[in-house]
Amino acid sequence: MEKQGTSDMTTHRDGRKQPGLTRELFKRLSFRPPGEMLAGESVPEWKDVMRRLLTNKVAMTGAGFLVLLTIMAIIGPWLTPHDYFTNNLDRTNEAPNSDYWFGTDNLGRDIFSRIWMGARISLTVGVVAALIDLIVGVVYGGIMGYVGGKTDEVMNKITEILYAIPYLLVVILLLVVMEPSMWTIILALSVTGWINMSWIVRGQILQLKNQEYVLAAKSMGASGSRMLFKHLIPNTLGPIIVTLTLTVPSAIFSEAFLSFLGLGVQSPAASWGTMINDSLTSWTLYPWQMIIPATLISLTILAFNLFGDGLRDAFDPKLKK
Amino acid sequence: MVRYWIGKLFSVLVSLFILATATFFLMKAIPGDPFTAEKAVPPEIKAKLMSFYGLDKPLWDQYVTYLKNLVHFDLGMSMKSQYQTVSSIIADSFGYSLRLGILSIIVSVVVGVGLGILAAMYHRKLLDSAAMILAVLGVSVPNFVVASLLQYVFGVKLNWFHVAGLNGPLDYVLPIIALASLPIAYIARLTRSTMLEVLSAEYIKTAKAKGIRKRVIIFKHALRNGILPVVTYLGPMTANVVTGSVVVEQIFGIPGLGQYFVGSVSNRDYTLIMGITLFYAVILMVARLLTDIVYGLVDPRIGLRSRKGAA
Repeated sequence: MEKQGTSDMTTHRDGRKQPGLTRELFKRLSFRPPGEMLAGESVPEWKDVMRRLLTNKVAMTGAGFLVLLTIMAIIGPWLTPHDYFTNNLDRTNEAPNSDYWFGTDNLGRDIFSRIWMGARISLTVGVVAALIDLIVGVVYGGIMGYVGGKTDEVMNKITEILYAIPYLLVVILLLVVMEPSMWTIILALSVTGWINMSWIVRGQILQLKNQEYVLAAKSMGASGSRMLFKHLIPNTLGPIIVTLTLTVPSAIFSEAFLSFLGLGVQSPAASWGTMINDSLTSWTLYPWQMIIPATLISLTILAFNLFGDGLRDAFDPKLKK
Repeated sequence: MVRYWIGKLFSVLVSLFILATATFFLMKAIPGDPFTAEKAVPPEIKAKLMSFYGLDKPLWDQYVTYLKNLVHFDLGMSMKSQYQTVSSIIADSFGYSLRLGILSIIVSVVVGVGLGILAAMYHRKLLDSAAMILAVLGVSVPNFVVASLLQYVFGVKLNWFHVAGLNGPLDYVLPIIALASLPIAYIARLTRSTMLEVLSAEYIKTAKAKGIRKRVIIFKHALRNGILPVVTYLGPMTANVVTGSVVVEQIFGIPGLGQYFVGSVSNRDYTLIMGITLFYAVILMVARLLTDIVYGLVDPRIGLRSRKGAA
């Protein structure tokens, strides 16, 4: 099935060098271990994951960029005296200068503050869409996996039927009916976005369900919801987090794509997609109007992908099992 | 086996039916009718128009007619392009999109698999890193950015290609690169990781030990297994190329289906929107079914296992 294809593809086997990790794991013990106790101190799993992540330079570069972007999205629009929506027809299409740091667009609006307003939209869309996917996907997938049987079969069939409907068509249809705005896009993305997440959760839970500790908890009379939320879901966290990180860039891309087509965020609100679309008629003369938002959106998606890949590598030892 | 395929086909038909129903009622849910936005139309003419398009009948009646017509592949008349049926618009424009799409898919598979094999052969060498950097970039840079940049650099600045249009064979180059950049990147990563896995398998070691040349090992022994996941990507790739074509056609001024789709959405040409949506859905679902069939054929091992469900 397709999602297996994607998870195959995302498995990294390049064994990046992770300095420090090996040294710590194999550190000399201060005492002579008796008999079989030859292992080093045991390290909690999340700590292990964190260490692998933190020593991954590429992933950390991605994370660093994202932190920087978030900060700029918050304070950026206030750093310059110009706001993002006022037209200034005396000063249109200016190249970047000391007054307008990133130049102005064809209506004389300040590109610097528009860019950071765009960052706000992109990050909000990415994060909110991913969170909705998370909540719906985990609950739905958790029930599918945990209850099993006929319920699982029916619920799974529903997801399969929904999944067969191309998401972009659903999104575009909804955007035709509703006012185009950021929230419409988020809603439209959420209609089908959670399916992949629900499958991943279901697969994980099916795998975990038959393990001894779950049986033990069951035999001690743990309730269904306790089993699900205390034992099963926490142990599926790795794949969930990885999927979540990789959902964000695709949501960001979708927003920019739709805004670029004129179906998303509308001017004067500034989305990167809208800005690129606005620049289309004139950017051969004023290339910065296009290059700045294009670079930022590419870098943002790149950073999320790199960070997501790093996370997956960090969780990989567990996934391999 | 037969039961499995019948089940698949059935769920595809159910999906199509749901989509058709959803599009129909979504379009009806929009306040006003298609003719309110125009400059004021005299009431008699408007009544004529309404009855011409069957809009004066009760909703369920319209719905039944719509479904009946769908079964006969009759998608109705376009509401904005006069005297044109939706089917004729699709027939006229789809040729461009189809040619572009198929060429892009071929280019993606050839270049992507090639890059993946190179990266796996030169694992952890310069070529590997270069191919993988290219792949990460391909995944990260949105297709409309790639298309605009290509148009600017090679069309406007260097003047090697026409900026827009699709008249000679050279005009295909830029749109195909723009459409193929994302699939190439995915396929390259996919091929690389499976090739690396396959290359460390026992039977490859045996072949190596027998002294078979590296090239023969790669292309004759390893590639057969290494290429399998690419087959699963066929469905999603078609989806990528279809969505990509929507913007790429827009940017390069190609009169394909994607161009009409965007146009119909901004014109609020409801019959055309519904028609193209369903048409796209059919293409994508057929691509998915084909993927499943091909996959079952090439890899009998995985066939049965993946059929058990998502786990």
